[in-house]
Amino acid sequence: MRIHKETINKLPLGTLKILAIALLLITLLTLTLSKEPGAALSAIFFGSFSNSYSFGNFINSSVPIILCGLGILIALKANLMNLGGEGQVYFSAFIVTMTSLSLEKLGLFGAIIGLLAGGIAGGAIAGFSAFLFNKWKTNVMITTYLVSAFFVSITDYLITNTFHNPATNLLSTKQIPSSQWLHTILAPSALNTSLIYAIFACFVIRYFLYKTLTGYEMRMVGSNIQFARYGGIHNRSITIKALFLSGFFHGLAGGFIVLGTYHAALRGFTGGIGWSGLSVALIAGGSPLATIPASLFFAWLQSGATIAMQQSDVTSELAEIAQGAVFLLITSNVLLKGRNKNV
Amino acid sequence: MYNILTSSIEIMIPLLLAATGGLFTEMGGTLNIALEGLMIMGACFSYIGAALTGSLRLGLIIGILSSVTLALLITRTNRLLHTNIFISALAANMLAPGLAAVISFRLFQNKGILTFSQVPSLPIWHYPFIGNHSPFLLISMVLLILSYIIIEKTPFGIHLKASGIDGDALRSYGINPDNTREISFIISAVFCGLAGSVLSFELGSYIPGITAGKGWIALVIIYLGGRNIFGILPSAFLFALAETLSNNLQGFSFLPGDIVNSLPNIFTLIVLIGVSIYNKKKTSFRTTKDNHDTHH
Repeated sequence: MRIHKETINKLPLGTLKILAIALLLITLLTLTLSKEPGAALSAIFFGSFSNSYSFGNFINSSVPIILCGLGILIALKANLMNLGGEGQVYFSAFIVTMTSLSLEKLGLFGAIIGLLAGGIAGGAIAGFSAFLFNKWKTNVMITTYLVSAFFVSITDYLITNTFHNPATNLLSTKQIPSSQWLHTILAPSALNTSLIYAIFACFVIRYFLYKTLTGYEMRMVGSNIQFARYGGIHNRSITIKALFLSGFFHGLAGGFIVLGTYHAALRGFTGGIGWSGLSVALIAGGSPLATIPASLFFAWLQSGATIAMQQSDVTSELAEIAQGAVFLLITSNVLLKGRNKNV
Repeated sequence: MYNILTSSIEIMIPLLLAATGGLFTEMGGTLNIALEGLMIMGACFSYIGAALTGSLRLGLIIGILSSVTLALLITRTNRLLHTNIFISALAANMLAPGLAAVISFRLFQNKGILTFSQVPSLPIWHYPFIGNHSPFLLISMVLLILSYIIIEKTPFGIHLKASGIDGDALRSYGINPDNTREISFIISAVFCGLAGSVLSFELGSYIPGITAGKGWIALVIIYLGGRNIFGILPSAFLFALAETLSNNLQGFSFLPGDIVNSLPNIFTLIVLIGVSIYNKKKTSFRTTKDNHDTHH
């Protein structure tokens, strides 16, 4: 089950081919399924650019995907698969909301502590799977998935029962005070300063992976475990660090969704993000900076499909199918090698 | 007590079918992470098929075919385009709910719960000692025995096991392990299509998320059963029993629904940890060099 280095490190041309196949698929599906394919297609492809509101929301929805992509990428570098992004984001978002609310008096500083608490919560959830793997070789993929599914249910419960805000019709917690909100960049859309932090995080991760000792060790363990052992790298502590960091970034994603966009934890509001993070990390091909365009691609597809659902007769799940198609093909050596010749 | 037994058996059938199917790929050395997605295909399209044709049998066939189609998509891209089989299989879990939603929306302008009065209800048979159940109980038992025969007594089964242990050795024997693995993937899709159909037919409707992690539970059932065809029968029953008991807890109001829903996941996790502790102890007692890592 090793996700070999060659399959994660790839050059953009082949990736572009795969993305083009996904777009072709979405076009063909719309042509067959829709009664007004012209309107549906123009909503999917151009809807996100039609006004500043849609554009801002489209860019804003890429922020948590970038952070989840980074989280998956770190785990992949150490040859670990984190399938629990969903629960890590969701539970952390809840923790960030609750911590920020209880530190209401500290204002923005309270929100920063909240964000850290969320990151640590996400890291602990993912780190638990690393602990199980180190101790008893329990399959990381299955445990990350199961632990995450458990936390999704728990968070559902906490949001709708224990910490439910009866003042609203939504299934949500109390809202955090506006002193803790991140600044909006493009009103009236939800785009906010978390975009800058997410881009900054990409550079931090690039520095971490390629310029620090721990980052080097992580890549060594991921690419050649035997060699790493001979070099005296502690495989076990690397597993813990990689999965903790992976969960930490998922936690930050959850935190930014709360502080920047929703200002509260809503039932099921992060649904599907785990998949997006995985797809982005695979498309980015192991490069932290490439998670930015990869996230923009999926954010564009998802917001376009949502707009198409509002304005036309197709459902937003078209984006899910396109994302699935990318997933299906993204490790293809045949499609990716073609561009090797060109370079 | 008797009620717990009968409802455990009912819950066990889809789990057992999915686990039996997963065992084939497991024998071939591939962790079939796509079980969940393949079951969703079966559940959705068998129900839609039954609604359109008015026949459970035709619905069942459509459900199995849709699951097999998705599996072929995975194995064909894997072999023609040289993808990582694990990542491509994971794609099935994303594609299946997407396809289910898009197609049911196109057909019925509804991507939520599908319930149709024209879908016949499952016939109920009387089984000695264990009460009234659908014909699927018999089918799953027959398939279990058939799988035992295929895996243990046919050349294909031997090749499959060999491809799981050492594919290159099998290749030197003149048999392509990739073919064997692809067939095992298709077989598991047939089983998952059937398992999914059982879910929606028993419920009398299709709900998004109907599989509720059963594909993942089936993987753990295979581990708990020691990757052995007759080991998975008791372990599937154990999981079904646990789910029945947690469903009964919901009847008492002291536990909220969300918490009860999470119990099968916790139980599965605990069992998985238990199995890995057991395996770790077992391998550490071995004097010979263990082949523990070959399965990764």
